[in-house]
Amino acid sequence: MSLFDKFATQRALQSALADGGRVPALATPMDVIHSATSATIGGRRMVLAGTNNYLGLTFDDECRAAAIAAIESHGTGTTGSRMASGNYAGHRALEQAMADAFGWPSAIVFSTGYQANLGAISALAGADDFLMVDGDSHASIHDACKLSAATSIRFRHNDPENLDRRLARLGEDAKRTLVVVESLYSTLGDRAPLRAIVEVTKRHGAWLLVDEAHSFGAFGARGTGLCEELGLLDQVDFIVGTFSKSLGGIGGFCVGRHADLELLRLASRPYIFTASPAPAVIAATHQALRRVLRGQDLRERLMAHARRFYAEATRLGYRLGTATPGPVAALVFSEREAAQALWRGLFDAGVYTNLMVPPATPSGLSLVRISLSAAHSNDELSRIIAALAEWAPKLAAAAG
Amino acid sequence: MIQPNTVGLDGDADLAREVGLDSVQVMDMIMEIEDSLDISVPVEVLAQARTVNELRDGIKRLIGSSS
Repeated sequence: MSLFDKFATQRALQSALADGGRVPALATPMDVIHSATSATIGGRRMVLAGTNNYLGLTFDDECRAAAIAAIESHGTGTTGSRMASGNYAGHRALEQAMADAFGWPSAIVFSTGYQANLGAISALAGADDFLMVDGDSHASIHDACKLSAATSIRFRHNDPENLDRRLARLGEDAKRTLVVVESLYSTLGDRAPLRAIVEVTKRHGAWLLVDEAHSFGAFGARGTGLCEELGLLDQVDFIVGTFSKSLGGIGGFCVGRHADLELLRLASRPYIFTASPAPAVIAATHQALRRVLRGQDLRERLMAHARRFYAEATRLGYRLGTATPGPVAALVFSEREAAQALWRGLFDAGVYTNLMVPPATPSGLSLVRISLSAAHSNDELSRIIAALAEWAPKLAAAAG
Repeated sequence: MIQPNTVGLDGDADLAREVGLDSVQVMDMIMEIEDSLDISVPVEVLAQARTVNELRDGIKRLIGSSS
């Protein structure tokens, strides 16, 4: 009898993914980072196409300078919670800037994106309340359901009719229900039917929280996401996002159309019982936010890359997670071995991507997930597409 | 979804170990049951059901409490 007996599934997966001592597909060791789109891995310089660095701001000159200046003036860390000694002027200024970006009265910064969902959702919905979450939600949303004292119910992925039926079953309790969706799903890159979800949610008198982790920075005239792009900001109640994708840092946020969101500072355990983000992270993120808000050039470049990649991958016969081009492009396989072979083939061709396998994926699918960046050069994108072209006939032959 | 050679498993069969369902597949199965019976099964009920019988009992309690 061992505490590790329960990890038989993980042990089998670890063994299946081991590749004879070659660079592993999971937790790939990054040796040297050269830029937002280039790193040395396993002794070779690679194009990075699996980083979520959608705008390429990790190496932005002004963001780096802001981080360095913050270390010089405020030190390396806060060593305290926001409720204690970790409530610096920089944290408060970033929250004000984030609230202003949405035109809403309240914004709360969390130490990670995971904690933003955990902290906002678990505190907003308590005992006697209900959480209604999309079945394909990120782990942070499902974990928030576990932490919350609310009753949690899942509805079918991207299915407003299914949501409608479940809210109808709740009757008057729908008014005590927080509906949670992601605007752009991180595994398949598909978008939520936000207009229909808003309509259903409001018709039942429920509340709506939208996670814009993968769309913040990439969509909307000001870059605040798909709710902005679709003109829905006056109907959504809360938006959660992360600093670790388009903003190039680490941390998360929740903004609210309701000033009472501020009360969560006294109730949200993942907000209270952790140290606040380091000054360098806050300063770089604030600078990145300024760049995002005037970043239409970056968004246009990112979407041009997305349209080109989706067109080429489709032409080559790959099955994509969605037909609508966006910063996430998932090449979908029913067999893990096929995805694993493509991941290795792309790696050997000098392109780093993400391998995603069940149970971390929806519908038992295996994925080679590619994230595009405004920082990719046209030549880098050509190299990614050329590697896919080289592998397309091999995969077709293996599939018979 | 159900793995081969599971016909004949009794109600005490473990959904993960014996029926061979991972957590995502259990969720998919529950959604089918929810639509068939026009009920919503809270996630907390699922978390407590490790066998076919426990799942059945949890759903029976739900239906009973709503009737």
